[in-house]
Amino acid sequence: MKNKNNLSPPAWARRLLHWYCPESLLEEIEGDLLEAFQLNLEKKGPRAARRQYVLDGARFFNPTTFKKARQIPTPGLPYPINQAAMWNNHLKIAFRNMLKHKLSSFINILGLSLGLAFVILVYLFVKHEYSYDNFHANADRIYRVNEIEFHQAGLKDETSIFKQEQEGISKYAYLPLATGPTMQEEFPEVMRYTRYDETNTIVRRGKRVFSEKVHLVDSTFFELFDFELLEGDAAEVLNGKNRIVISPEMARKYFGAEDPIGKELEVTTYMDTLLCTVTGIAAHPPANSSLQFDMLINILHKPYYERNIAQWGAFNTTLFLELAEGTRPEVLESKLAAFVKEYLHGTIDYLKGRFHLTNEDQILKLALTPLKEVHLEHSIIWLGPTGNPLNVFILSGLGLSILLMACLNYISLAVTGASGRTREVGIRKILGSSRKQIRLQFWAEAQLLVLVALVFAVGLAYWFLPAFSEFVQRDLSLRYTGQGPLLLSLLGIALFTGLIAGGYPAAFVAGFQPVKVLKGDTYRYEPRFTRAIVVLQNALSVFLIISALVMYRQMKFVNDKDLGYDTSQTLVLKTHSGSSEDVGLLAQRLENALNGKSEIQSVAAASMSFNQGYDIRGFEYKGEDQSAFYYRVDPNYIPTLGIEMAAGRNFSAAFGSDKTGAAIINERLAKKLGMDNAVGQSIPWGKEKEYTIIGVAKDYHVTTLNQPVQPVLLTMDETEAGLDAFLVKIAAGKMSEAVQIVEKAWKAVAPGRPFEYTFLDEDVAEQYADYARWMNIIGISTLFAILIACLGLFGLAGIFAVNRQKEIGIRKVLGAGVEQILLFLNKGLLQLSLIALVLAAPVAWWAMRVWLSKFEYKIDMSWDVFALAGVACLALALLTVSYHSLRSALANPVDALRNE
Amino acid sequence: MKGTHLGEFEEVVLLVVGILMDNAYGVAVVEEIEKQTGRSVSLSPVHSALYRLEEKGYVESELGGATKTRGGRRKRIYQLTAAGRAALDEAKAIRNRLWNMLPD
Repeated sequence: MKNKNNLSPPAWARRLLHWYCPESLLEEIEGDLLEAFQLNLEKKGPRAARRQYVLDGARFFNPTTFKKARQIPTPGLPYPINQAAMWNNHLKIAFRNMLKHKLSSFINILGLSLGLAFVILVYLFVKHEYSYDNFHANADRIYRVNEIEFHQAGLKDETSIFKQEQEGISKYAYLPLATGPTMQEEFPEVMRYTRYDETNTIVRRGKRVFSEKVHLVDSTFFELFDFELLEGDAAEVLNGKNRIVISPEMARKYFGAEDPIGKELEVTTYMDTLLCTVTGIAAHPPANSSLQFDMLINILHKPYYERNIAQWGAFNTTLFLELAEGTRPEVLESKLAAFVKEYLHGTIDYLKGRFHLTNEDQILKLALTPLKEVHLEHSIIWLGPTGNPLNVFILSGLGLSILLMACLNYISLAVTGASGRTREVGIRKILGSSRKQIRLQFWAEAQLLVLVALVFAVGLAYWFLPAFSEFVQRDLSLRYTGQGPLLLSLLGIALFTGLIAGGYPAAFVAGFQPVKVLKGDTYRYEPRFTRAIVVLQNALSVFLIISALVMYRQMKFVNDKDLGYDTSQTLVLKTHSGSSEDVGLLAQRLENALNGKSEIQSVAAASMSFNQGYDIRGFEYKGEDQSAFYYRVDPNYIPTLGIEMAAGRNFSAAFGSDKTGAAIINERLAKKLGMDNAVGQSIPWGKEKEYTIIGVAKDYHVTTLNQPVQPVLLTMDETEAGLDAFLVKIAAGKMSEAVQIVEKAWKAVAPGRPFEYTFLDEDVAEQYADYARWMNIIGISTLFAILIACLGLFGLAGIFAVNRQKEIGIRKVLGAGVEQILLFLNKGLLQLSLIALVLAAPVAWWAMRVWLSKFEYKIDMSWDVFALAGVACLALALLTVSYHSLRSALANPVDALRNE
Repeated sequence: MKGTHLGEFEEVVLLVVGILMDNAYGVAVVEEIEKQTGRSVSLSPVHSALYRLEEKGYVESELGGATKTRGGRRKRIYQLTAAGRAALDEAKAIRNRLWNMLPD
């Protein structure tokens, strides 16, 4: 076999030649090439001959060859054919056909524009996701430093877009404060660095008081990044303490029409209050920036800066490096291991002890992420928002599938409809059309349709964009100006679609044999291909329906599940209190102010509400490490949330010892600690303290349902935590009045503090916002997919019914009833739907199992979901085809049969 | 007259076409050039030269017979035209004249 192959030129080179070499020249050129090959075979051996063939063949790819080809007349004609003239005719026929077959044109244009619109939306999204942080001139030289911890021996970092978390490996973009300055000193490759952190503050100017997120950066920030500085000098604006750069929005908020430069703002962090002079105004970062900020101050203001800069144990600040021009990141990365050893050995020792690792194991390393990849690097935890590459992948897949479905519609309609055009093709061929010309004509018809659809698609995309932007949580835009590349991409998409949709029908039609079609033989079209298309479309619909159903049920389950506490009618008020003041007194005052109001049922205080973060505390119990979710609460907490007690009692102001030495734990913690009868037992807390358990609460969910019930420990101990949230329970139906009453009371008891509140039920639901959004996206895709599949079926049913008019007529004449005709027409469809269900159900089951595995508490995927999806799909299909089936079943057979 | 100038390579090809008489086609021309001048040439430039010569009217061509070694493909056989012959003569004449003027 191998020898035989060696004795002929490489097949690929031959195919290549056939591809580019014009047919009129192929004869002489390939002949010469082959002959030369044979000669070389004898003279130089097979290897050289083959090589020579490839080289010689490639050299024919030149302008002279193509120029010559154009001058050679078609055999039998004295001059080359000018095909341009035919284009006029092709277009005219295409338009006439579109108008003649209004139904299928309508179906195709609608389907294709829906598909294209979806693809345009997805394209905008994908483009946006990949455009993150590209606007910095030095983006290629900027890297974020990451810390990767290995908590088990022998692990390899294997995260990918499908596996975003890996047990035993933690990745953070948080480093000790000293890392940046030290790296710049030690590595000549590091040109500049800036640290980046954020902190919640209260910003005040006169009577304008709001809580704001302020970002802490180095003075190099505006030199390293290319954020637009509207006023101020990049090197100077943040050079030193007590300077602040704000966005124009903030300038308006605090200064109105005044010029803010040189004026002061009072910024209160949880440590202290700073007076900052506005030194610059920076435009709010563009939507595709990973760093989003409105106010910037120098990192020197970070709480405990002096203490933390001197030690290497606190990993709490993000670090960006700008490498010197021409530096390869690998060079720097290779030096990081030594850096880790020198400065981070303390942390290594700690991790070694904690996770029982040895010196041979990999424990901690530093790595670099290029700035442009920060956005889609989902596996590393950091401050900024990240995109999920998996979302990009899934959405692209959905978009392409839907477009493909629309293309399949076109193909099956065009191929089935082509039987009506056999005579046209026959005549064209007899009059001298080549196969190529007919292919070109039918492809052009598809292309024309796609272009018309594209116009509608752009309109649809424009219309859907706001909703879509909300689903994907991005600020997407489709503008008319400056969209040259977009326009090109759209045309590219259209061309691609035209080729996919028009390619097969064109080749199919071009294969008609003129003698046969003109003799009156009907062209029997083999329907296997169409059947496959129907199955494919149905399967995709079933898959999407099942997914949407399962997601919907799970979301309903999550939202309706009894969490063990009552989230309704509860206002969550942020107290904005530092750790120093007596916030317990504030709670008391607010309670007094609201006392006796019929709209307010109760007021409780807690160190933290739900979905505001966690405070997990570790402690030692009977020689073992334990941990629990820690909350400082007041006696109203348990009744306000309606948490049920399993044993013991609630905190009470009547017992003085409750304030310091009492704890309430939940059943889960009691079980974890191995306490059968927990009330009265005590838990040692730190070195000096001990809490006596006064009550056991029934389990309730402090985290999302993605996780099992967590152990919880509640105390009233004011030395452990502040009170950041007040929970105000409101009487049913009195919400708007109550909010006003609370605001008035708040302004009275806490003057000068912003009144900011949320609703507890919304906070809790917010935790599932991501899932809910995906449910919506899948829901919309399902709608698109079903619509397109139905359109295709509708068209097909019409064509089949027309094709079988005579058969139906004869059957009716011979005595078949309407039901029999209907059954006979729809039987095939039923079978196809069943096949689709059988194909799609396992895939959907698998995909949804993966999706559900993220939840600890989840629904069972019972058979009825699949049955429902199958029945829904079938019912829709039957409904779609019934119009045509009924019409042909009810038609008078005379109409069908008299034109013989 | 623009376009009728005979390049050096074209001249060689044209001469070889003349020499080969009724058997001048791509591969044969290549073989003959290699045999007579020792120059190694590739097929594609020879084809290009032949196309150009045909355009200038110095050769004419028709499709000839196929052989097995050619994979059943036919040859394009070229023949020297009267104009081609004249062009060769003229080129030779110019050259002779120049040679004669060369001092010993």
